[in-house]
Amino acid sequence: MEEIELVRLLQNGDRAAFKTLVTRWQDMVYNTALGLMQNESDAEDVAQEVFVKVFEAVNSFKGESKLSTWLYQITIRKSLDALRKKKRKKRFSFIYSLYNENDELIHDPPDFVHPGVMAENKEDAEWLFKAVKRLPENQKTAFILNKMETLSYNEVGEIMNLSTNAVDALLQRAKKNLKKYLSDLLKEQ
Amino acid sequence: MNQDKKIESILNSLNGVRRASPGYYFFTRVQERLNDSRSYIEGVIRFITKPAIAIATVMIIILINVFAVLNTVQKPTAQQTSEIASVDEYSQMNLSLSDVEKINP
Repeated sequence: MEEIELVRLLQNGDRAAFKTLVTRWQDMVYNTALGLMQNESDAEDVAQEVFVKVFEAVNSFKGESKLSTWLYQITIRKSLDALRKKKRKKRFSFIYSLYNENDELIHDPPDFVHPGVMAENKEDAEWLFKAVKRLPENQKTAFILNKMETLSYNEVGEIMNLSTNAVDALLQRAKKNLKKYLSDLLKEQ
Repeated sequence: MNQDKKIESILNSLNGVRRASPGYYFFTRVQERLNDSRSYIEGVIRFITKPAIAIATVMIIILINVFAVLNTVQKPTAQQTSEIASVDEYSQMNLSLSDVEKINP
């Protein structure tokens, strides 16, 4: 089904078109959310929210960009909002118990390993995700879109409303910061 | 030097990464969530449009308005108070010619 036709059907509240939309883009939305959230259940939660939002707000979609670009933008916004909310909760976690019934820390889950990483790279990827967590939001977003969604600088720029040069500069800064964070993390080890 | 190599290897660890997929029956869960969000909005609308809630809201608005009007009518403003005071002062100062003659015969 063509994108324009799909949008038209969605704007008429067509449930079958909605199923097509979810099936076609669920991996893209989930994978992006997972890269940013670094937690599978949080990423699933965000991905569900994204599709609900799309169904409710599809009438405001003017078709000036690709549907996938719009989906990426909503996913990034929702993921970053959820991360901020989580951080706020963590800050106030001293008010209630930090541990669950199994004496495990509730707010510090074990290190994240992306399920799509090749087996031989898993250990290194674990370090990388630890460092990515420390990046500022815009650098983290550009890095995830470029490395995990393998988008070009041009596509990343479209999603983040930046020029290709700005994306290039952002990714250079991200790489520089990652090197620094990794060096610190390896020293701490 | 060794550490630089390690960092470079870490930075390249996402090469060849595959996209992750959500769990099975993802669409069913999205649908459930969509229905939940709709029933929540419908619930809020149903609550607001209940006659008792609607009448109580209107009564509160009317009471606030009545209170605001009464408060404005009863209390003169600071400017009005100062105007009244200056008129009083003026009437006390405005002596007639006969009064002046009485003072200075």
